[in-house]
Amino acid sequence: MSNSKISKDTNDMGSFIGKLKREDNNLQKLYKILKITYIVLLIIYIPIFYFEIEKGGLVPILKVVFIVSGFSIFLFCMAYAQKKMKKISYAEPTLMLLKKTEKRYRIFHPIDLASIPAFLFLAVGLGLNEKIFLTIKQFFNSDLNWRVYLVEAWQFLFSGEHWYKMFAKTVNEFPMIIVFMATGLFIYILVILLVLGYILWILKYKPIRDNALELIKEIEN
Amino acid sequence: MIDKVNKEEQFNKILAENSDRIRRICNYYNSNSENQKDMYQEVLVNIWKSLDNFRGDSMVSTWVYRVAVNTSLSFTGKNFRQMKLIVSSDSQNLNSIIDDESLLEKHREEAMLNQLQNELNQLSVIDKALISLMLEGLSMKEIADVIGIKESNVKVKIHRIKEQLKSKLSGGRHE
Repeated sequence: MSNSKISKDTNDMGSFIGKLKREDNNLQKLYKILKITYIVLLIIYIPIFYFEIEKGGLVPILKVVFIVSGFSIFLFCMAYAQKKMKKISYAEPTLMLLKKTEKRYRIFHPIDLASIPAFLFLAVGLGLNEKIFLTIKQFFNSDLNWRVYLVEAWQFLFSGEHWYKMFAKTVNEFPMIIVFMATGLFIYILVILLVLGYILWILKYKPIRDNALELIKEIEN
Repeated sequence: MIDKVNKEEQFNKILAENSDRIRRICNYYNSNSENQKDMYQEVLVNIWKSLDNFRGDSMVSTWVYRVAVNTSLSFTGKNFRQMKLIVSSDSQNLNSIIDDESLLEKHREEAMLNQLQNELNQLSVIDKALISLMLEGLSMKEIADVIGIKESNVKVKIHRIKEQLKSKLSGGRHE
């Protein structure tokens, strides 16, 4: 709540409390919207899952497992973040508050790692089909080792030949390119997200953490 | 944990009993009346937000001081190093900082008070917070509860601040 918004209410406590209540409600509404979104997605996906599994075979089951795992991990991460946000209290002793602030604004939290498999599971779950499944199977059965695989995936991002194959629809002639393409794009998106996250942290959160660290040092000195 | 139905009632009660305390803390950190008003509102917002987690482990007044001091640290944001501590001749417990009566007499004069003001503003942010709590008449134990350090640490810190101030105000005679 911005001070400018409530400045008119300095002498009108009833209206001020009303705004505070609305602030609480807004936060609860946000949590409610997130929960509803997940419930709606679940309602949409249950029949899809049902029909997929009805088709029989391993691929539809894998699709469902990957999508459910991805959503579940995201849901867990969001619930964890919400719980942490709810726990922030200005009524804690100053030193404790500062230590929690310092922790909260660190660049890396182990829980963030969970979003990588979540993202990967969703990408695989949503994109998986018989053809891709067979290609992946072929990939794992091939002599291609991991180092060559990663080099190929990396080259996909910069090689005109790979892009040409993809756009020229010659993928059928070389289905392995799908694996390289997916891996390359995954690395590409991950690197972009990491760089953007780092810039955001430097600009927005690092100064807060630095201030907190300075004050902690001062108190403990 | 406070029952949500009683939140408004509890908030009003805390406000009725602690409004002056909060205003005084806000006045210590802001000379400008608009800023005082803004910080007062910020403290109230944080009291409201923190009420859900109030377990009654500490006295309500200590709890309110915690919210007020923590808000003052975040309210000044990036400019916290330049945070001012405003004292006036009618500040409560001014003698708790300067326990030398004769010196205190002198510093009641406007010019000397300005010097005291300048010296206070040279203090670090945390030292300013400690002084503001002292001016409020809190005991060492209560200050320790607000800041979250041991009572003995508070005593050492306050002794050091007092010595520093005495030395500066008496032109270095105490060093």
